[in-house]
Amino acid sequence: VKKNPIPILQGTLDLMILRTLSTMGPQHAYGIASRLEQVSGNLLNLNQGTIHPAGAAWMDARLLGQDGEQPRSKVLRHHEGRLKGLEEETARWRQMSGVVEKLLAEEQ
Amino acid sequence: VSRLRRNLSKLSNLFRNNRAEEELAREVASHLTLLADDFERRGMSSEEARLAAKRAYGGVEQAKQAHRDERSLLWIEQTIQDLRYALRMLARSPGFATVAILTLALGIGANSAIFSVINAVMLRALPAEDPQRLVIFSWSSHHEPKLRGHSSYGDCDGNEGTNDCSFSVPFYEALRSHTSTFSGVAAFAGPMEVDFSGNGPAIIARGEYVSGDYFTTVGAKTIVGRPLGLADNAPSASPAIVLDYGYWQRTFGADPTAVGRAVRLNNMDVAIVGVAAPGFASLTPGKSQDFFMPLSLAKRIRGERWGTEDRLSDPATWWVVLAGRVKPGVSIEQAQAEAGTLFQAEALHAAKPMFSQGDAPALRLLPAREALNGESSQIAAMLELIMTAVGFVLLIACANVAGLILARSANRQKELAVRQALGAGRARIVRQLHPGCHLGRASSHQVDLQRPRSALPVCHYPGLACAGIHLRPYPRHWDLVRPCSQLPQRARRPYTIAEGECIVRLGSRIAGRPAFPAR
Repeated sequence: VKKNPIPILQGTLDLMILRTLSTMGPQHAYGIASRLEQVSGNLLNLNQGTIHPAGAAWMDARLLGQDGEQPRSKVLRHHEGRLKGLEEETARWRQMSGVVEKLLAEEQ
Repeated sequence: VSRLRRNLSKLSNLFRNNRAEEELAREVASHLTLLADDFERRGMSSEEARLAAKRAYGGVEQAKQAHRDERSLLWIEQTIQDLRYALRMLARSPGFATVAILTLALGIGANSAIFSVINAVMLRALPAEDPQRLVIFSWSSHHEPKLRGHSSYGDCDGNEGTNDCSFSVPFYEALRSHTSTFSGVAAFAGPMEVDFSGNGPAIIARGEYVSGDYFTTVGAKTIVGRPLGLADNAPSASPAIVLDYGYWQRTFGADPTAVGRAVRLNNMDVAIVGVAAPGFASLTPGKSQDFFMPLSLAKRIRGERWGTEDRLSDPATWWVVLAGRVKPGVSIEQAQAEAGTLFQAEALHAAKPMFSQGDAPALRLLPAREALNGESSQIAAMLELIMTAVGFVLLIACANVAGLILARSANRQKELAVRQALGAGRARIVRQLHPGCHLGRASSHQVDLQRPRSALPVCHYPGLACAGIHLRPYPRHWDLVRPCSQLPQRARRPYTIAEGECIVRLGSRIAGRPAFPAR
């Protein structure tokens, strides 16, 4: 069966990155990308390049850190005990998907 | 908080942009390598794997640009780019740049020249400690008092006949000894011109008579030596003077050993005991003195204008200005009531009354800043007029430069069209053109920035003379026409362009040749 990959929904990449980091531990961008592809079973049309800017934004907000001075690529990780970003993003997603689910339920 | 943090970190990224750029390149490269390795493991040839990795990664340049947008404040970076661009454009057309800069410099120079006059004469803060509590005594009456001598030195506005702020020394002393509402009352008068010798050739210097408690009342300090004190005012005290800071700088070369030296004032030996602090000039704006001398010397240093009467003890010779410092917690009204009673007693009930009952002599206390306006009230209107005029000159200069820029931008139409075609928005283009205009202005300011922070004594202005406006040489107000060479170091400054142009014009007038000959 030929699967059609779906483009990533606006605003969901952040949540995916944060969640991956919290389940898999510190990862670099490539690690995150492979994990997302594996979980989605290649259903996700992910431009791996977009992970870098997203990670940078979270690092600027000090909600993500990097592991030491990496010679080649940054290893992103959550700051100790600072999962605020993940919690907020998760709550937002639940709200959003809840609304969509409700709408779909009404249709039936 | 997190937004603030993000912006802070973006700001800091601005300064280590090169490093961030390197890091990003390295990271992207390593990501691509990892991807390619992965594809190779799945059985692709290395070339295929490389291409597949690039496809999976998406647009490398887009990712980089997104990263840049994330990590730094884009608009600052762009502004810096625009500034660089504007500098390059100015450098590329030096003729245009020179004309624009000179035009604006002319306008700005004229404005700041006039403003520094206004600042010195009208806006200056009183160089006294806690000036709110410093008051000046002023009297008024219906008719002219019967006085033997009356002089004022242009410290306050007033009609010497029926209202003024000069008083007699005996009244000052009575006030000082009887007051309970003032923490200090000081008298001053002058400056008087005296022969000053003992330091190089004899010259005429201007000394301000001040009472012994002048320095404490006003709150003036000395930077070398000591201020004059009550003891110096005793008739038998050895004569002492305190130099003005500017005078000390220009005639004594700021030599600290000047203190302790003896000089001669009109054939009387006096000792220099101190130098007033640099911030302390005359209380009255626009006036200045070379040194301060105790009031008691008035008897010993004879002024040529004075008759036989002793002005230190004659209640009918009014010549000193009184400044009082109201005690904390006492209102000006209370102090005025007390001083007014004393004044009435002196004026009406003295051995030889100076006023008759019907004159209604009255004494008023005025805030020092308001009362000591010197000549400023007379020249204020003129200064405002000149300021308006030079304001228009600046406007015209701006209009001229705007016209130049407009004409030049017509030349750039093609370039702008290309920029637009390549995807620059209108706002971005306007922003790019903007700094060019401002840079021109900034560099004109640069030409003009050489002025000192306090251009206090108004140095003679070729600019004014050139504009055909001559300051009336007020007899008591020579400062306005003093040449620059006599000003303290800090007040001298290189001529601005506007003044420079005027010097050319003045010189040509003297030489009788046209300044800017027509070809």
